[in-house]
Amino acid sequence: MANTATVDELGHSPEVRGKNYLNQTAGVWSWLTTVDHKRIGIMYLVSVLVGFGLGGIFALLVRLELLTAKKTIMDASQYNQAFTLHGAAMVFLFIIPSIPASLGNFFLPLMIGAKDVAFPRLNLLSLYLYWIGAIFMLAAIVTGGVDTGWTFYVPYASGVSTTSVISATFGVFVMGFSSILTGLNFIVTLHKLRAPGMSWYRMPLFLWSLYATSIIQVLATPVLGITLLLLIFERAFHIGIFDPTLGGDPVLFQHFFWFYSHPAVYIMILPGMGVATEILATNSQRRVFGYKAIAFSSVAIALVSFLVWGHHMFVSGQSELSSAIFSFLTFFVAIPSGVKMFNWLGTLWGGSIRFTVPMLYGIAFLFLFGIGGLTGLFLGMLSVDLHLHDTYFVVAHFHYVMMGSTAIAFFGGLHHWWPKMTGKMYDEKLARVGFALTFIGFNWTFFTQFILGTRGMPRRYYNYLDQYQPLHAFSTYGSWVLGLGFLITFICLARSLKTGAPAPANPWDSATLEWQTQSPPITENFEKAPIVTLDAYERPAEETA
Amino acid sequence: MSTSHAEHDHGHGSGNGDHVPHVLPFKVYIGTFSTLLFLTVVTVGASYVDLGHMGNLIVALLIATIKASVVALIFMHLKWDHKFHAIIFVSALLFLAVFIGITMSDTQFRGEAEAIEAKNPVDLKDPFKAERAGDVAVPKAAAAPAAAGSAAPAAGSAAPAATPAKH
Repeated sequence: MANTATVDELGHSPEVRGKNYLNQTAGVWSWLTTVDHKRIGIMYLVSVLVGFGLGGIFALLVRLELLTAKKTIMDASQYNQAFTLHGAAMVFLFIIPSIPASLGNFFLPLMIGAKDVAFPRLNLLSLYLYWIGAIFMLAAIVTGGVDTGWTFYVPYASGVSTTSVISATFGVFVMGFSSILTGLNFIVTLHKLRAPGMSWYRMPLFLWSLYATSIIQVLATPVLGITLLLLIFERAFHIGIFDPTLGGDPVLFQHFFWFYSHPAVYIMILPGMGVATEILATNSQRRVFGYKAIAFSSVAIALVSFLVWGHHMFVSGQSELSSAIFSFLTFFVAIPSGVKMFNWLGTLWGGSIRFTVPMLYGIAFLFLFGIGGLTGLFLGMLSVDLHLHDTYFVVAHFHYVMMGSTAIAFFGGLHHWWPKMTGKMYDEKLARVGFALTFIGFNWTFFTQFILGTRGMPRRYYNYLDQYQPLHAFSTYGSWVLGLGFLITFICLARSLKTGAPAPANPWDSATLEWQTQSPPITENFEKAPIVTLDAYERPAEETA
Repeated sequence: MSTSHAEHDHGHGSGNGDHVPHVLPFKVYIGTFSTLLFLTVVTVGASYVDLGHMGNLIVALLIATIKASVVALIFMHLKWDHKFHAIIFVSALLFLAVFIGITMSDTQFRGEAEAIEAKNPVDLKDPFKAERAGDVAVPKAAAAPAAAGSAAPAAGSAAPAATPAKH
């Protein structure tokens, strides 16, 4: 707590003191009709956490079922629904909107010194579309569930499954529009609303990552929308597009689906990388090493992400030529990812490192993303993928990227910005316990699955050979520790709302602009429009030095 | 497109907030509409001419691209718009080309390896033996006795399909 600046020290006038975006107006209606990006961000935050809780419950159920090699708590069709709903809830309700729509919405305008996003009403519309899409998904759960896997592969999804596929896919279709609108809003905001002096290279790197994410959201999501609409048409009206019995091509569905869903992996991970950069810079007490390299590697990842979708389809029956092209192109992703990793390590090198709670998450991100990213290279290699495809190795790999990296970065960001968002400090000891259990539980659960996968355990199997039972049981025990870690984290954060000490404006002594206003901020963010004179992550002391 | 409209000088999206509606003569719209109808007829007509699978595909995509460009340039007024928007439009075309192009590297070449594999069948029970015989150059003298064996390993023979290396 190096900086204990108070509201008064920030130069706020007496009219503003004591007022903030939370108490400016009151009542449910004032929240539902707000166009304030901070309130919309908070509503997104609550929503994605509910989605995370829902997906988490299904995850625990899936792991519990796999405790034994035969039936444990549910039958095979219930198991299919449980893993489908776990995946769909985690991907569409939680990870994709998690960082951009909650933390991004809240902090993007603050970090560029703007009053709001470029299109505040569109911002609220995107939240409502997210809710409407979520309602369709929840309706699918209560009206028969979905058992297709989150990928909705045809011809099973279009013609065989008797579950509520149309409701679920339509929900995802609607949520896609929410994602597009958020991306569009962010792109325009970053182009048009930067404060005087806030040049592109003075922006915090979190914003570069959000910019790259927004490009993907705007360009790729429409393809998913069209694909799911075609799937609905095929299922509802028997128009032959993907189903071979109707003259369609099922592999074409996979092309369409992964053309969105591979870039979507970067919609998930890029904001996490941005959050990690902020945490590492703040807690190393120095400027980010290789600023431009990190900034442009975000954009490079966004561009390369559109060229590698076929590496999900090496055993789908796609042409060998195609597989060779996709395998070759996949390795290009490693270059900007490696650039980031080494620049983060360069930032830590020689830094004055503080092991705050957010920093623990930041370092965990580096460790887990290292494992998740490198195992991706195994899977990008054709010959290796033939053996590991659809095994638990793949499950472990993408959990290390999506959960170990993105979700860990999200919770790191939540701890980092919690004082700014709520005006409250949390209990650091309890937060450390929550982090430790999460980190241990995560590795316990998913590193085990790397071993399961290399030994040949296929994913999505309900019953399995007895030889895999000890490792499955071990992984399930880990999931309980992981669940407990998240529960403690939630309790810690929720308790701070009631009993937490008031947060100072800049509790972590961070150099970025969002900390230069009170905690929580006023509705207009800054009483006077800031004029930026410092480079990114530069501190006033450095300027005079 | 020559027009006598003063509005053309303004362009769109000039950033000065002085946005003037851009209006084209009625005959231009009718002409564009007729062009689109004509190209639709050409698309249908071209489908009756056998230019080979790839040939028909390229012609169809070419006509579709021209039609989309006419709509964007004239109906959507991109021709008189800010040049930056033209860059965005062309990027979208490139983006689409990547999507369709790489997907066609699958759809146009699918199953081609099967013919090669059929020439060099592999005994799944003893794959490495077959690899020695099929994929790796083997001296003819050594390969000849094996070649006299069964050419249909799937029929239950333990002997590998050992056709001499041909490539």
